[in-house]
Amino acid sequence: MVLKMNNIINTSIKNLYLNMNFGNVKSVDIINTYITHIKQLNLKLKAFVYLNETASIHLAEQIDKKIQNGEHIELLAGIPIGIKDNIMIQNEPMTSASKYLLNYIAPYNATVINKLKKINIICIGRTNMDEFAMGCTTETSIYQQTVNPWNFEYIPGGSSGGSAVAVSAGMVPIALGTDTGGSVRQPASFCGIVGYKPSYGLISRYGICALASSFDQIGIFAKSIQDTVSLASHLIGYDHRDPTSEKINCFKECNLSTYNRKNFIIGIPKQIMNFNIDKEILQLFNEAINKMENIGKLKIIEINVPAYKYVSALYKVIMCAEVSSNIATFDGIRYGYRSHKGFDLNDVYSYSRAESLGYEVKKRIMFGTYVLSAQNYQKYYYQAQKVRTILIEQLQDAYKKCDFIFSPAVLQMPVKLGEMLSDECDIFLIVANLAGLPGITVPYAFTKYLGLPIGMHFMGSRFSDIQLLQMAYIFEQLSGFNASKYPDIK
Amino acid sequence: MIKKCEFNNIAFLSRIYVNEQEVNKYITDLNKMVTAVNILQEVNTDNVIPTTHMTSMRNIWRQDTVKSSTNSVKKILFNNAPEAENCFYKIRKVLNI
Amino acid sequence: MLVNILILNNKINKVNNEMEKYETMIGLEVHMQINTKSKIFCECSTDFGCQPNSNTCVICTSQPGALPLLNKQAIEAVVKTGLALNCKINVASNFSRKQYFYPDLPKNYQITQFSLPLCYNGTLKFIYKDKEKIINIQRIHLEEDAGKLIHKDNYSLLDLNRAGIGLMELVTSPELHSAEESFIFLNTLKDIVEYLATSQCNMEQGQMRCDVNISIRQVNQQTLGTKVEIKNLNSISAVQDAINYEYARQIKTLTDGGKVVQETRAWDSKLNITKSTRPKENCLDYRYFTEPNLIPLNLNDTLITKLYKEIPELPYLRKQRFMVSYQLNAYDASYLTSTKLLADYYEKAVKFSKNNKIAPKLLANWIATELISKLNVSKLNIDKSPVTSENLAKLIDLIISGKISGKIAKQIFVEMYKTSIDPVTLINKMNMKQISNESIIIALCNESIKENSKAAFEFQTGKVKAIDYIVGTVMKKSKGKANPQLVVKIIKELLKNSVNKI
Repeated sequence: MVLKMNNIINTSIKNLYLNMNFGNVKSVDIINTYITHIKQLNLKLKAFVYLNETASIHLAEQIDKKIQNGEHIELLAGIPIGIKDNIMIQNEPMTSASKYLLNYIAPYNATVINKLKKINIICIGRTNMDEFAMGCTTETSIYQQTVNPWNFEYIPGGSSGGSAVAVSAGMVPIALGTDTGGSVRQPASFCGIVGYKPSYGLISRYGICALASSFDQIGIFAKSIQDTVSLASHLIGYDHRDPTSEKINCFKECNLSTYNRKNFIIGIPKQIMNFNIDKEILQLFNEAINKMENIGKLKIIEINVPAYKYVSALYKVIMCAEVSSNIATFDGIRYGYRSHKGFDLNDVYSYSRAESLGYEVKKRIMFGTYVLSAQNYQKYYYQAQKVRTILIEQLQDAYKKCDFIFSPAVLQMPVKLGEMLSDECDIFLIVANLAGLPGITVPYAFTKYLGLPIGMHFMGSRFSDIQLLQMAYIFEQLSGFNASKYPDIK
Repeated sequence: MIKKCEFNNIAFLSRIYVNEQEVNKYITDLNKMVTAVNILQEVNTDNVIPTTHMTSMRNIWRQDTVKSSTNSVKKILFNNAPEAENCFYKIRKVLNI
Repeated sequence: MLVNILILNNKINKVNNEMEKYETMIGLEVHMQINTKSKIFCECSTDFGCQPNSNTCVICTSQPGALPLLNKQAIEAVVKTGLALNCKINVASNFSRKQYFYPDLPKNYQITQFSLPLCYNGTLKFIYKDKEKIINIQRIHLEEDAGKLIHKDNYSLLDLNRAGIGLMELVTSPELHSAEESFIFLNTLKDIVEYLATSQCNMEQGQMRCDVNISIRQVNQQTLGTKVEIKNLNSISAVQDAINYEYARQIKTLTDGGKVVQETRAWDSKLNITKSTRPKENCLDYRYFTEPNLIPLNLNDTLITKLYKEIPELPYLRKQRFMVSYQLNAYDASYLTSTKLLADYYEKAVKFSKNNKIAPKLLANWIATELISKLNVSKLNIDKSPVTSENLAKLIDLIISGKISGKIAKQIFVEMYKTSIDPVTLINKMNMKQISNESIIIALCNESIKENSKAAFEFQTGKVKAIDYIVGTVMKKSKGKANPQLVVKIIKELLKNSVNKI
């Protein structure tokens, strides 16, 4: 049996690998299929900013040779993956979609890239994003406007919008993003795919262009929970190059089918009703709760996390503070954009940054500078760190009563390009970043109003990633969402 | 509320040149953010320990061994420099009076 | 400015009377490069004098996505130094970012310690004008060094080889009162740190640098005077010069009816003056916050006990012991304990020597004069000395036992230094053995008495010193090999006999 283009795109990554190993399909054919697909769709969707055509085909040929020679190839070898443009791949451009880094060549590989290369997963190209991952629409990119594949007039979400669109439209089966305040899970929800952010510390941050160091985490986009797990099991693990990397090995054996061993308890914070949730989303959310209750094994309870009220504020303060410090290194001295305006060195700094950074980035830097300044430190930054403690403690209490916290992924449907999302749109997702928790959005339904997909969000306690994926797997099955449906792009 | 004078200091500390036309937009947007985060003031945080890290790990360190970066890495680092002279990064004088 | 100094110097005498009314309060911030092979947050070498930017990597040039990797040795060095200076240790410690833009600081923030320094509340003891003085050390913390800028006419060049080398910053209370006291404080500190091997404190390589806070106040005034900070002091002597200059400048300002302004001044080592730096400093706001990329520390007792046990006997105590055990004077003892290597060498030699009464003093003299001057010429450290402590001890023993004269010993020593051969072998080889055969010496003495009849007569008539001429002649005739004690004894006997004959 030979796999046709449609079959290739519709096959899980594990099955693709098996088919390759059995000689049903060649790695080169898979890569060529995807390259053709990317080139075709990218004209409309503008998800990719850089395609690594020659090198990808070359690597695929090597894999085919190995298979021909009967050599062992690693699980997932030959599978193409989309990489967000803020992850370092040695000798390739890494721009974080910023004018500042347009001519920058990465001098080293991020740890995740080394892990992908080791098992011969093919980094086929770089996906679009908000500048330095600051944004939630992928509109602050220096490049192009990535659009929602289900309706081109709408935003794909962000900041990892390019990766979400690429997977959603079948341009690649899997992609990597970064999630500092929902930047993987929110676009995944808007594009109708799975978006998973592991517990903070499980995937190395080494080689990820930093936004807010205490929140940043690599996240995974895939069509299914099974694909998510297949990829995650290769990326999770201790890395001595990241001091915040955890030595906990909670991911070696992740078997999704063992889920029925346990009767999970699902908590719903009563505070989520205080937020302005889109009516249809709320209706679907309630429907989802009912579906879960109906299968019998899952228990739904109400939990109390009063600090949800402060999530948006404390995220803004801490994130911007860290941004202001992390982005300081982009100064026009050792690499990146340098302005020739002005007279002294301070002018080099001030003009280089002014001319090469976007408005959103500069605004966040200045707000961060403000909350860290001597007169505001106690009032804002220090206070936010303390409120963060209160939130974490309340969540810890909640997890004594339930296994997961369940909520809609977002408060509202995607907006049209150029329109503003509500300030609190990603609030339920941000909680996971503030407390270092694992979170996953699972596509649930297409809304009637816009026909756009919408996802639900599960958030587990720290390092409960395996159970969380098992829960997501249960939900994926009962949701009735047709994952093999692809947007119709002409 | 952030006023012009304070804004100028923030912009200087951030090393971001802001032209006159943009100043008001920044000030308005920053003040919106300030207003939004003022809600934190209502929380009683007496005796609360601030969270700086998520982990319970401690003493993450390495042994004192030397490992130089490879020449290919050094070459990329150097090629990324906006201006260079011999093996130095070339920059404008700190103060040019 | 030069003119100013001259005027100032001339005025100092006039101001001298005024000076007694004031006292100076000096606090020091001492930066010492930590003695590690690799930098504090990356694996680049700390070697000095390499090609510009050759010791750099993605971490110390602050590439996107790079994360700091803490060097354990740097932590240990600071804790050890703190323990040696009686500091308390913050077992739970962490790192902060100190933010300011400067090209020698690639991240545009310095990773340092702010609220929880590794060490705090310590003391350093030293002797000043024969009195013991104790200075409080407020804190010692760990941080990273910056790169180097080379200023050309129209541009600057940046070398990041030094960026990211571990530094310890030690801050004293403002309890020093003069340039001289500060000088002794710094030298004592340098000696201790060198003993601990936690920093090499090499001045030429800028491994020890200092900022000085100085204020003056009237003797009975309760409050502190206005504090002036002097930055950029790269040597202990520069600290001394800067304090002297600033002290005179501030007193002159006050006696002229002016006011001392709180400010930061830079030391100009060419003109030997302090200069006011630009008032833009008031824009400085370091915006410290906890470094999210570095996990806090929680040092356990085992580690701290281990470091405590590794602390060697410190120079101050060792000096005291040398004075007591080896009957050395304060000068010799403090010279010999000025570096650990020197003291170790000396002590090893003393232990080798079979004589424990005279040898310690003799060894001290020989090391301080003969050996050190030779080592200085060949630019060798004492631990690389061609004359081992054992061989030097043997040589001294030969002198003490009268087997060779001091003069011969010096000749042998020159050979020992050249060849590293032990003195006994050399004496045989060079035919330098002492003549102790009485009949040979009697013959030589008789000859010499005849040749110096005037001296012989003077001796016999009571001028005891006159014998030296005769002894000298004997030694000359024997090429220095005659046993001097024996020579004296025999000459005395011969002259006594001849008196009897008269």
